[in-house]
Amino acid sequence: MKSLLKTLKILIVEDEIRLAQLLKEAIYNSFFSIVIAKDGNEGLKKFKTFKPDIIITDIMMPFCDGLEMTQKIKELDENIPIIVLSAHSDKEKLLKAIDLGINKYFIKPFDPEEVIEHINKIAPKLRKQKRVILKDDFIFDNNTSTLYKNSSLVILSKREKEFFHLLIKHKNSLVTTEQIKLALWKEEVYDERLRTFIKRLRLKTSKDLIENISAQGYLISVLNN
Amino acid sequence: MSNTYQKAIENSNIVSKTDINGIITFVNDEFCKISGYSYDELIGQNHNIVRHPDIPTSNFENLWKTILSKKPYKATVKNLTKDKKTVYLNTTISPILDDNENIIEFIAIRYDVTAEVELKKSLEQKDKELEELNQNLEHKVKEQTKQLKELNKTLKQRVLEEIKKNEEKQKLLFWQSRMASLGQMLANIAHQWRQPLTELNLTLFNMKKASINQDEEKIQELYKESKTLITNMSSTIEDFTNFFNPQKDKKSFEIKSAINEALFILKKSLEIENINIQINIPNNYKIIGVANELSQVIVNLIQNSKDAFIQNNIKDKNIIINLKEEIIKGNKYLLLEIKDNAGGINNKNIEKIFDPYFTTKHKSQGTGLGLFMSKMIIEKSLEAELNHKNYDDGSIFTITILAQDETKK
Repeated sequence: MKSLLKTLKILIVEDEIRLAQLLKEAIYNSFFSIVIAKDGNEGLKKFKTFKPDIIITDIMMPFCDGLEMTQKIKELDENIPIIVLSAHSDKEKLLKAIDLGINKYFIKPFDPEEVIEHINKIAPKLRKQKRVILKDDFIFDNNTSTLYKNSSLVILSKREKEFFHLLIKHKNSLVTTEQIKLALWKEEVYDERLRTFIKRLRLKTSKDLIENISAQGYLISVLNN
Repeated sequence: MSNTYQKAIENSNIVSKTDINGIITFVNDEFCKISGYSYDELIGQNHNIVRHPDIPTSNFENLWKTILSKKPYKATVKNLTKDKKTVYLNTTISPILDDNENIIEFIAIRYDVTAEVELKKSLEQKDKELEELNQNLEHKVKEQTKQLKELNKTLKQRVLEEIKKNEEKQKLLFWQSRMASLGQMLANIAHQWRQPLTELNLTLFNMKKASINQDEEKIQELYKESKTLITNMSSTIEDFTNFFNPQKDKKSFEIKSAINEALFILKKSLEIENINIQINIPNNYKIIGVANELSQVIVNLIQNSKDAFIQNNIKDKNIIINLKEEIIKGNKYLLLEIKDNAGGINNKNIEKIFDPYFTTKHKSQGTGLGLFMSKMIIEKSLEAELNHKNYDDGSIFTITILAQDETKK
């Protein structure tokens, strides 16, 4: 069980800096890594770049509060567990939190041991695969966003890493070209640009690693169960 | 006596004659008419044929004495008619003398005064009734006065009772409002304490970890940090206690410092709800009163604004507190304004906001005493006024205080 927690990445969103540091200090050696964001906006940014497995967030913060951030994050990834720390015990906030699909609500002052215990409980459900075994002896490390071929590193661009995350998230099933374009490029792009992108990636890796479903999209096959 | 003269008398009067013994010798038509007897029935009869049984014998004795002494007799006589009716006749009986001064006969001339007598009698009756009525009325007035006096007595007592009841009600109101404010204060303390308590909890957890790892340095660092947290928490509770201690003495105090004290109490809730507060109060404005009572009113008003922001779902929350001078009717006043953009008060409630127990909040949050007590405090403690008006997109509460002479130094 301990080793399962060790694979997880945690994002703490909390405007009280000292509190965030103390929380990080309290739980850091139970997890793979911990990142702190000081408000909802930063939390959203770090969610995208850091790709945490669990988010622990305060609810009342200046700029984009915890609930707003949760809403935006849930639009991007509806399955990510979000744990709320709140100074509020009022019903209205609690109900709103439930509507947004918040998994757990801790009222401050909370016991850090209970937080770890809760994460322990939900960790198995995450089916976190730190090391994803792919075709042609490729292995992708979800936590570090790195690709290996027979233990040697394959250098990937930021967009290519995003692409792997996206395909692995929908492992063994089709991801449409529209979905891919939306996730990888901020601006509107032609199919040609996506085709060029795939072509270069195939040159770096192998012809079959990323499979093409003609005229629809792409998928990646994950071999570990 | 000439014949015509006699005729004239006979026509207009009731005339009879008797002999010296009282036997009727003559009656005129008028006599017959009034007595109900015919001429023949009367002639030769004693005159007492028309006598009324009510009349005492002494009257007749007096009559006979008078006429036998050759003097005329005048009286209103009550007579009885043939059909037993009573008539009143104004009667003059004159003895008729011969040349030797001897009585030959008596002549009686009468006229009917029955109507007058009846009238008089009924008047007398009315008089009597009136008299009685009068007496009765007096009695009634006395009775009423007595009742009124008693009512007055009990009224006094009832007023006293009502005043007492009212005082008890006021006490209850004050007590309830104090409990409500205490509740709010506790909520504020809880807000201020949640953060340091959370930190303390984490610090302890980390200390446990450090001790397992035998990291002496880390333990010392966390221990020191815990102590600082506890000291701060303890000073918070002291500030709150001071704030809530009932001060009785009226003293000169700075308006600005009373406002700052209120903001200190609300600091955490304002932060959590993301409310901007702008204070435009110059230094050196002093008034006389109980400082923390003004602070309590400010706390109350700001809490109301806060609740309204949440209730009306306002995103950009602003509260502005201004102090300005104004001359009203030749006197200088200080106007302390607490202005928010929380949507204002619904017109249908605007008359009632200062009534006790009036609230628009859910009963778990509002007792309906906040504004009522605030108004009482402002009026009693500062001898000032508290008013409300809506403006564009919010409320302005204004406290109008008469400026002291040494207000601005």
